[in-house]
Amino acid sequence: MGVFDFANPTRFMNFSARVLPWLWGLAALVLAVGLYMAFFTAPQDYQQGNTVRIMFIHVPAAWLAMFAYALIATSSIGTLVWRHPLADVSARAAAPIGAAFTFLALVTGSLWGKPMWGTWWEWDARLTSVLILFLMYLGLIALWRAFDDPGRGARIVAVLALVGAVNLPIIKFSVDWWNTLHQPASVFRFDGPTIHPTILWPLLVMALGATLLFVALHIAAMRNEVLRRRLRSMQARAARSTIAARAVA
Amino acid sequence: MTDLLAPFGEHAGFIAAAYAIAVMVIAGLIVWVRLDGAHQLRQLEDLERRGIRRQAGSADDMEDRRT
Amino acid sequence: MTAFNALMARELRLAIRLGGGAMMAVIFFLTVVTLIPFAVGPDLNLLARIGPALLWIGVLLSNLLALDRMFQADQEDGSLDLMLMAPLPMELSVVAKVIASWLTTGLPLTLSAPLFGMMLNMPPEALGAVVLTLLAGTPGLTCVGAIGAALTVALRRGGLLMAILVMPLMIPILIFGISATGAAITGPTPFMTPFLVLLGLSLGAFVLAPVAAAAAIRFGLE
Repeated sequence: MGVFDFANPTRFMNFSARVLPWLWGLAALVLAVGLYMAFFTAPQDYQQGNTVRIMFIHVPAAWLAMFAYALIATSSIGTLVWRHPLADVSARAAAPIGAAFTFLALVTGSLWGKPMWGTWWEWDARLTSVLILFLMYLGLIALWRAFDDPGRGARIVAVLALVGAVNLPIIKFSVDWWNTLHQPASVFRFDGPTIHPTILWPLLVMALGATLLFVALHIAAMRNEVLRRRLRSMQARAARSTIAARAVA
Repeated sequence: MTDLLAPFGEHAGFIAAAYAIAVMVIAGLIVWVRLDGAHQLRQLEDLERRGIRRQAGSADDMEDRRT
Repeated sequence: MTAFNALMARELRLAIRLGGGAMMAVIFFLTVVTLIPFAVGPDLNLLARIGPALLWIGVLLSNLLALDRMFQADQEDGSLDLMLMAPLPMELSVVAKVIASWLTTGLPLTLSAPLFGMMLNMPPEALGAVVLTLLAGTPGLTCVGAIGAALTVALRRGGLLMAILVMPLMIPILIFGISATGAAITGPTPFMTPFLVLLGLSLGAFVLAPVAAAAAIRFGLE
């Protein structure tokens, strides 16, 4: 399987070193095209006026927030079931990036909500679920950092990630239920009956560009994590040899 | 400044804020990834200078420097 | 006496003896219920309206307190390692601990809820509904709590982190618990729908938690 070709960290480092500059470039290009379309080809929405342009950030950010968690969950399975050496590196690298995009989704959702609903925060199903997702990301990061030895923490965090993955659809279901009980006065749905193509295309391009950006960030962060672990083991060896030298002297 | 944003109507501030925050978050991520990488490489080079190798006498530490 | 029963008997004895884990949870529950009117004001109508929510949150928080002692004490004195090595599968050990923990915290909290509910001026139907939903929900709370406790068992100061990790897991139980209570008091939704979901959540947690917790303990202690 292709994934296992990169099980060797050195091969991963070589491959990623070659691929990364292209990824950055492609991401920048696609995002540039997307931004142009977002501002110059997409018309004003008949309901929301220009604030629909916030959607071109908000929706890709929310999509990436979920994609990142799916990536972490998949990596966690790789850690627990197949003991793939880079699986927990992937999970650890993805968490802060996922958290950042979740934060961005919340903030842009809030900035979109104020002119639309008249309030900075709305306890609707989407925002509430994303808020809980944000808390779950923070929990993952906090648990990672609580362990000195990344190796030991890896499998425990993998368990948390998978429990969280099971919890996410339950949360979505629960919050939807809760929301139908407490239906707000004005319910806004941006993805009404249809999305007009002039809005859909910029959205898709921005989503693609954001995804490329995420992948580039993820691979770069994975490289850093591999380096960090090498550094750790080298420092440990250095400390051991220093102690051994001192013991002899 | 406001006449620059005039074509965007009365909610220009919100749109500008949303894009500004997005730029800051993404820039922050890129900066973090770059700085972290540079930091690790610097420390690895430092160890190498002191003669610590990954495996005994391994020469593939040089590969780490490729970005 | 089977190993399972022996373990459960041990847990029960420890909980009843050790500074009264059961009583402490109930007293903390009382503290929370006492604090709220100072913050919200003594308006009895308001308190009656938000009563179910206050009771549920009080139970949730009291549960969080009790979770700390589920695995930590055993980890510190080495009993947890013994349990891992024992012929009884760790998953079943967790089940025994969860049942014992519920009997000594979740159940007393549920039974004391009507008393505190009266302090909040809740009508009898509301009290009945709260007790029923707590009865169905507290096992689930103990189970998801066990997952959090197991994840942080290898850490020394894991208490606060554990609470943060457990909170998203408790939210669905809270939502459906309150929803069922509300349905029983006012309607129009039938009581059974959210109540059955609540039971399902607790049952699901009862199945998932021992597996996840045992795995986390194994990874943490090796």
